Amino acid sequence: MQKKRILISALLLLPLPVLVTSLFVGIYSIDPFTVLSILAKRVSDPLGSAPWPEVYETIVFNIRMPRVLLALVGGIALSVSGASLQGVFRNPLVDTYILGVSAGAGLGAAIGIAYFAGIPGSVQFLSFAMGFAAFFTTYTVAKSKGETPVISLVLAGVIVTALFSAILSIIKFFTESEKLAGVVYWMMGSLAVTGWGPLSQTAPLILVGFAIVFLMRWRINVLSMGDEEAKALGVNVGRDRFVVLLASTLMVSAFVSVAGIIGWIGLVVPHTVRMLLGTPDNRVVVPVSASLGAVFLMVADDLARSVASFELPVGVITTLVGAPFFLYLLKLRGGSAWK
Amino acid sequence: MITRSTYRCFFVKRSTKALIFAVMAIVVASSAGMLLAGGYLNGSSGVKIVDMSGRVVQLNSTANRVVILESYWTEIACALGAQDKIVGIGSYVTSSVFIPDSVKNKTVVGNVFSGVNIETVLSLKPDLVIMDYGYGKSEEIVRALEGAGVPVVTLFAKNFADIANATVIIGQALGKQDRAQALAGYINGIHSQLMANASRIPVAERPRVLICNLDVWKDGLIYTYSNTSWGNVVVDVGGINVAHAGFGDKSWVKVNMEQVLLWDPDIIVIVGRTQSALASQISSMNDTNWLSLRAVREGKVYPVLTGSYDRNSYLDWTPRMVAGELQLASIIQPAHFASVNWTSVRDQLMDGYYGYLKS
Repeated sequence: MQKKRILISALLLLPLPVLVTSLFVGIYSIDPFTVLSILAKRVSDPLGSAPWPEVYETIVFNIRMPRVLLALVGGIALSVSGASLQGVFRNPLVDTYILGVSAGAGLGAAIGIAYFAGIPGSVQFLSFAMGFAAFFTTYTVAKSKGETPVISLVLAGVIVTALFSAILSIIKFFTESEKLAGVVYWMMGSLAVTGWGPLSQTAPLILVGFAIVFLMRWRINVLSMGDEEAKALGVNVGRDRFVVLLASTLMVSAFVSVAGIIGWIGLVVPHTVRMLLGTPDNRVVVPVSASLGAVFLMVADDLARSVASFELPVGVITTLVGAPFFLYLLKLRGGSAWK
Repeated sequence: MITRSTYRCFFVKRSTKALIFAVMAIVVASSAGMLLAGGYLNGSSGVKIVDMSGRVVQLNSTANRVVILESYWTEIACALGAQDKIVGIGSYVTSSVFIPDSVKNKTVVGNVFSGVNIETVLSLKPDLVIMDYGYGKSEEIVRALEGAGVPVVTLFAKNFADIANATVIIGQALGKQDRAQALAGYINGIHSQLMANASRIPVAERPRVLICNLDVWKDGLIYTYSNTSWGNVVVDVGGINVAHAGFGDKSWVKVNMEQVLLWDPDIIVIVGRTQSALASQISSMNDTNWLSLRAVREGKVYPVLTGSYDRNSYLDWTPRMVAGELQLASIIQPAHFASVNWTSVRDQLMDGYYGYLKS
């Protein structure tokens, strides 16, 4: 028990040192001590003169920091969404995009790139809006006689994903080759060229969604027992499920609208947490998934921007790193933790 | 007697005059200040460039360290003799055969589609970045670079005039103004002559031309060029682009064989980036459908290289376009351009500005 507490505490605290060390990582060589000095100076003596070139502060505060923070909140969004959806749907194979959010967001981005490229923020807005539209379409389709059974939600999600993907294909077909390339690269997911703007738009939404899921994490445990058992325990199944799904969609849509589709995190991280802790209890799985998801995406993005002089799509890194690690854990621990 | 109203009137008039004088003084002083500090004068006080998206870019002096994201702008910089100033390149620059290896070996920083590694750019300490605008992540890249203190000149070529304009801008930015003006003047002169000659061709003598690529996406459809690049060159050299009828507002149109049979063009120009791509397209036309076309039966199918993958390509967004236009003119209007030897214009251009390829 004590060991588990120590492990949980360590996992919860892990994002902070990873965040700081991520600020050391980058093509532009700045030694870690200087980075720490820059951080300290910003706190203690922001207006004072500095013994390092001004470009160092630009890199640390305007290039690395917003990007690392975006990776942090993005990792929280995707992993917490995955954990909560796996609990709500009582299905270990459910990932972040089960409700059609990725298909909706991809379609929105494609429309923005193809037809509204000249309007600033159009891609982000349309991606966010269409992600939500996909969720509400799924929910509406799944609703029957005032209830939304889990199996209906899953099937509706599959239908909506297929529908939006088909429309996306049509958009791609009619799009000029230059813009088509933009759509393809957007779908790969990337945290390149972010900045404080996208972070300030996205982080509040993600944190609100996370707060909702965090506060409802024990209710997710109850929902995971099944509708009848949950009702017997006094839980308003329909309302609570809707709130969790809405919060999840809010987090994912907000992040996908600026970073594109980064897969695998919502599936791998929660299961990794369950295997490490040996429990499916969402009261610990949700916060620890947030922590580990943040760490995972920060590390993946560190690799994406440092292994070559150009940028690699971070979604490729998350898959190449996540899948073998997940396989290793699966072989080691099996699927017993899910039960 | 001076009454309060008289005093007030007098004072107001004096105040108004003083105010007007003060405003004028401020305007004059500000203008002078802007003229001196804003670099409107070239030379020691800096270089002011108005790029092709209308942005005014102020440089302290002509750039000595430049990062260029696209192959065509890099090619122009090399043609102007500024290859030594290039310190970083875009992802697709490495595939151009019109850029020397010394430039292709520079650090690759990314591209407008997938994004640029800003830290890599900063580590190269550039004075300037030259890049396309209007698509992909161009807006975000410009914002990130300018936020980090790196000036950016944005360019985009939609027609021949843009190529000449871009050449002048690049020359201005890299301190090669004279050579840039000479090159722009040379290609503009030939282009104008070509356009003037073509404009005199009667409509009845203009053949109907299909310009297309058969295997862009390998989906069996025919990728035709309408209101864009090579599609408009067909019209400029005295042809009628069949795709303009019905698809005149589109840049590229994917059509099926039925549409092509309906168009029944007099001439078919097949474009491709490599000899093998052209050969593959030509061989795919050896079937019943294509043989139904008069142009195919009469042997009026002409393969033309485009882009920068082959040394024999001349249709591209670079000064080579002038040779490409003449090449198309000799195909589409052989009688009217019989006196024009497009290969000698090509050789003149390559000898005069692409001599670096021989070293």
